[in-house]
Amino acid sequence: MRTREISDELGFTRFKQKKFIARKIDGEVLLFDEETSTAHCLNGIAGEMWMACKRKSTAIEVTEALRPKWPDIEEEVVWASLSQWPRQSFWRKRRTRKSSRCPEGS
Amino acid sequence: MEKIDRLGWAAGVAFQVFGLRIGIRVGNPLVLEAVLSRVPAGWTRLRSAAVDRLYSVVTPIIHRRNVRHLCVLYGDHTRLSRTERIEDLLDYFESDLDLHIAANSQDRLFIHAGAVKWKGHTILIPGHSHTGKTTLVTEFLKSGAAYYSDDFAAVDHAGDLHPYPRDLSVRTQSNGSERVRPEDLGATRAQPGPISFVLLTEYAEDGRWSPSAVSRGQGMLRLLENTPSARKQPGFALEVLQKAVESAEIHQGYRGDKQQTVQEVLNYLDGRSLS
Repeated sequence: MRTREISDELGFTRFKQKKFIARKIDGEVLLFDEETSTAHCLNGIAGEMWMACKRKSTAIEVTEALRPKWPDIEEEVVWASLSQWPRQSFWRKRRTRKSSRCPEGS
Repeated sequence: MEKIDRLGWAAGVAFQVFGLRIGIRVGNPLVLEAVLSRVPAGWTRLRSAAVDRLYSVVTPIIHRRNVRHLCVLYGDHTRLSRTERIEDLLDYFESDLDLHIAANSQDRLFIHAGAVKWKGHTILIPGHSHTGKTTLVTEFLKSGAAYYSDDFAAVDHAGDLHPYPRDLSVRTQSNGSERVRPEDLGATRAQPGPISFVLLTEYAEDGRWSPSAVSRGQGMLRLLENTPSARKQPGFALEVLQKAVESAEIHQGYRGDKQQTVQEVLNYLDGRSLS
């Protein structure tokens, strides 16, 4: 069971990929950051997550994009991965709006 | 630059090599041929004097007793080398010109790598200076491989490897270097072809060649590290590298004895059919 806080994060926090030169090669994604002249190689699932953030996407939307290849993947896992990655500057994280739902039971 | 321009120049030449426009001017016309002998083969003279990079070579003309006679090399307005021996200046010129070409050419993508061909397999050995590229290339040539390069591998837009027109530069015990023609090792010059095998390796004292295969993406990362033009033209570098490794196997591991490493690589390739 999810807390409301997690549900909000999954649904309202949006991720947008940073501008890189990207190349897909054998299922991996090679990224080159022109600002810092650094390159990264993302494995298959990480590469798909990055591609899914071409437009501002929530963890729920990214999970949907991954499901055809990884049917068992869970939204929380995707959210946790996406939330950690901004530290590596792969994408920008932005909370679009606060939940307007009432607390449960009130 | 104006100060250098005022020095008075006796001879000069503008030429094109790997798509780049280079100029050389000298105070002593007798030096020009020696400088030109260090330019990679295939250069063509330009009529226009407009160049991307200008080298200026100052050498003493009148020799006076008790005075140090220095040769000075400038690259554009920067002093690159000041030395008593013209040979040292020429070595510096050659090295700087190679780096300039590698970092700026759009005709070819240059990878800091040794490269040889063995029975149709093109082997690329990327690595920075002092990682043993020339040592391995020399050993491959002694075993019968054909020669592409020992320092810079030139890759065309289709991803095919071409020979870089330089002899091997073998380090001597006195920390200098001497030129060795591949023909003197019994080797021939290789024809252009696609890269089939990439060796990511460096020497380790207790190392034994026991490589593991790495993905093409990881391999491209390592090649990018050794691509001088990656910062200036990353799009071009990635595009060409992707084509270059398209059908390549990439192996990584430490190596110990050079003979053992080369023999095991050749045995492995002999056991594989050409794709």
